[in-house]
Amino acid sequence: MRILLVEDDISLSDALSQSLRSEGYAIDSVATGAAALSAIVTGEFTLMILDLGLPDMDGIDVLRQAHRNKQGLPTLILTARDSMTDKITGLDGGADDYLAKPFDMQELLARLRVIERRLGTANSSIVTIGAVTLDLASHQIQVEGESKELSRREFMLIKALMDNAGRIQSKSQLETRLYEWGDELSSNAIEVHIHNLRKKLPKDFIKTIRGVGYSVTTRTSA
Amino acid sequence: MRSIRRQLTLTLIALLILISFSAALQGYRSSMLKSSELFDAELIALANSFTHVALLQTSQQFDSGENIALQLWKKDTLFVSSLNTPKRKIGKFSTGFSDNNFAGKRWRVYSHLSQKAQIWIMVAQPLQGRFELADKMIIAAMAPIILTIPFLALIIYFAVSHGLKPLRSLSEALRRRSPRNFEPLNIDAPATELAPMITTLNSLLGRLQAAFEREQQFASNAAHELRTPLSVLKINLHNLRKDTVSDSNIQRIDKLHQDTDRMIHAINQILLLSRTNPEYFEANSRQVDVYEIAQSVISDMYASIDNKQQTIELIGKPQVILSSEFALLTLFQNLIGNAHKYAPQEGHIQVHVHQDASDVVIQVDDSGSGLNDDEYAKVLERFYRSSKHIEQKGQGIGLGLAIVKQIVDLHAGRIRLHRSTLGGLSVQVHLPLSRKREVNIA
Repeated sequence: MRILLVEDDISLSDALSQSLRSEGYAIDSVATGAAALSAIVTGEFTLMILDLGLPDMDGIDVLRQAHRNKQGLPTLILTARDSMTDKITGLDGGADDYLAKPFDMQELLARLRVIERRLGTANSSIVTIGAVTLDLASHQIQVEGESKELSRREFMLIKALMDNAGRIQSKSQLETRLYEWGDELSSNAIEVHIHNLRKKLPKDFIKTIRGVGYSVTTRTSA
Repeated sequence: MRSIRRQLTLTLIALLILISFSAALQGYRSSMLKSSELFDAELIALANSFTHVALLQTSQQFDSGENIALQLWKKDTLFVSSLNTPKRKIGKFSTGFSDNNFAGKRWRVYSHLSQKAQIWIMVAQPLQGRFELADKMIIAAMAPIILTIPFLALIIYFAVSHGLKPLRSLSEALRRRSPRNFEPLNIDAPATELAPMITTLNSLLGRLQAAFEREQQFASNAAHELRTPLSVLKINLHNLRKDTVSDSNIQRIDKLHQDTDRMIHAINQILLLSRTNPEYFEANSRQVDVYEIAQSVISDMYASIDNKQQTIELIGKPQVILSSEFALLTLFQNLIGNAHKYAPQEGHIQVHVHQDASDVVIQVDDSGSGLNDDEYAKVLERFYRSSKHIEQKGQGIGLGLAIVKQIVDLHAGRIRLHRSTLGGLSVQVHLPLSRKREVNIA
C-alpha cells in the first residue's frame, strides 16, 4: 500500500509520514500540486492524502486534473477549511473522504481503513465485517459460517452498507444504488428489503437511525 | 431636516416676488411723475388760454364743473371765480405750482401773471385725478407680471426639482443598498458637481469592502495557521505515545493530549463566534432545509455516537427557512455534540425538527444527567461551565451554548432549556419562518 502525501507544511508532513510508516504504510511526500501531479503519473500509488491549501494551486484542482488525465487516485482530503461547501466541493471533485484539521490520528487511520476496504472490495471478492462475510462473486452471505442466499437487490443493499461500514447510508443514497440497476422502486422498497435482510443477519447488524438512514457498525461487539 | 429643494424653491419665489414688487413701486413712482407732468402741462395750457378769456369775462362767478377751479385776481381783488372756489386765494401770487385744500379736496394750483392785463390767473385741478391715472397706468403695466407669479413659482419649483434629480437618484440608490453591498455606485454620466462625491463614496466603499474581507480572511487565515501546528502536535503526541513504554509517561502524554484537544476546541469555538457575526450571516443567508442539515450533522457524528453505543433519532420532516448553512450546521453540531458528550454509554439522543404557527422548532434531548435547576439560564452565558460537567471530564470551555444563543439571536429566535423527558437536558430553539431581509439592489 503506497500512499502519496501532498502537504506543504514540512513538520506536519514529517509527523504524518512517521506515523503512517509505523502503521506499515509506504509513504512518499510532496509539497506542491505540480509535484503531486507528476508523482501521480508514475502510477506507483494506490492512495492519496491531499491538503487543499497548497502553495502553487488549490488541492481541488490537483484532484480534478488527475481525474481528467484518467489517473484519479482514491483520495482523502485534509484541510483547515471546514465549511460544508468545501467538503461537498471536495467530495464532488472525486475525493473519497474529508477530514478537517486538526484531526485525531486514530480517526485518520480508521478512514484510511474504510477507503482500503473499498479498494479491497473492488479487487477481491470477499468482504468481512464481524461475523458476516459477503461473497461478491456468488452473491452469497455467510453468517458464522452458515451460507444464505440473497436476492439481487438485497445483495446490492448489503454491499452498499458494508462498503460504508461505520457510516450512515440515507434511504435516498440506497435508492440511487438500486436505480443504477434500472429498477423501478416503490416508496417503501428499501424498508422491505432491509426487513428481509435482517432476518438473514445477526441481530442489530443493520442499525436504523431514525430520520437519517441505515448503518452497519464496525464496532466489534465484545 | 432641511430640504434643499424646499429652501431653493422658497428663496427663488421670495426673490421673484420682491423684484416684482420693487419694480411695481418703481413703476408707480415714475407713472405718478409722468401723470403729474401731463396734468401740469395741461394746467399751464389752461392758464394760458384763460389769459385771453379773462379779459372778456364779465360775470363774477361761473360753473366750471368738478374738475377745474379758476380765480382771476386784479391786484388783491378777486373779480372772477368758479363756483367751487372759496373767497380766499387758491394759489400764490408768484408764477408756478402749489398744492392747496379747498372745497373738500386737495388741489394742484398753477398761478400765472398775465403781463398785458396785470391779472393773476390761478387754475386748479384736483390731485385725485392724477392718482387715478397713475393707478390705472401702473395696474395696466404690472397686472401681467403679478398674474404670472404663481406660474413662475410653479416653473421654479419644477426646475429646482429637476435640477436636484441627480442628487435624489443618488440618495435613492444609496438607500436601497443592503448594508453588505460594497459594489461601487454605478451612475451613468453623473453631474459634474456629483462626480467627486460619487468617486469619494466609491473609494470609501472599496476600503470598507477591503476591511470586511480582511476581517473574514483573518478568521480563515487564523484557522489555517493554528490548525496545522495543532495537527502536528497531535500527531507527534500520537507517535510519542506509541513509542513509550513507561506507564507514568503514557499518562503524562495522555494529559498533554487532553490539553491539546481543549486548545483545539477553544480555537474552533472562538472562530465560530467570529463567523457568526451578523454581517457575515446576512451576507450568506439563503433558503436552507433545517432537517437536511440535521441529517448531515448526525451522519458526520455517527461514528463517534456509535462508538459510545448511543442511539440517536431524528424526528420530523423537511423545513426550509432563510438562514445560512454554516450557522445551522454550527447550531446542530453544538447541540447534538453536547447531547452526545453528556449522554452516558448506551444513552439516547433525540432530535426534533417541526413547525408551529410561526416558527421552525428544533429540539435536542439527551438521557444524561441534565443541569441543576438554577443553571438553565447561566449556561447561555459565555465561558460558563456547569459544575456537573466540570465533574465529568468534558472538554467544553463553556462557549458552545453561547454560540448557539448567538445563532438563535441572528434569526431573531428564542431558546429555552429545561429538563428532558429522557432525564437529561432538553434544548428547544424557535427560529421564525419569516425574517425581514434587506433587498439586495445595487
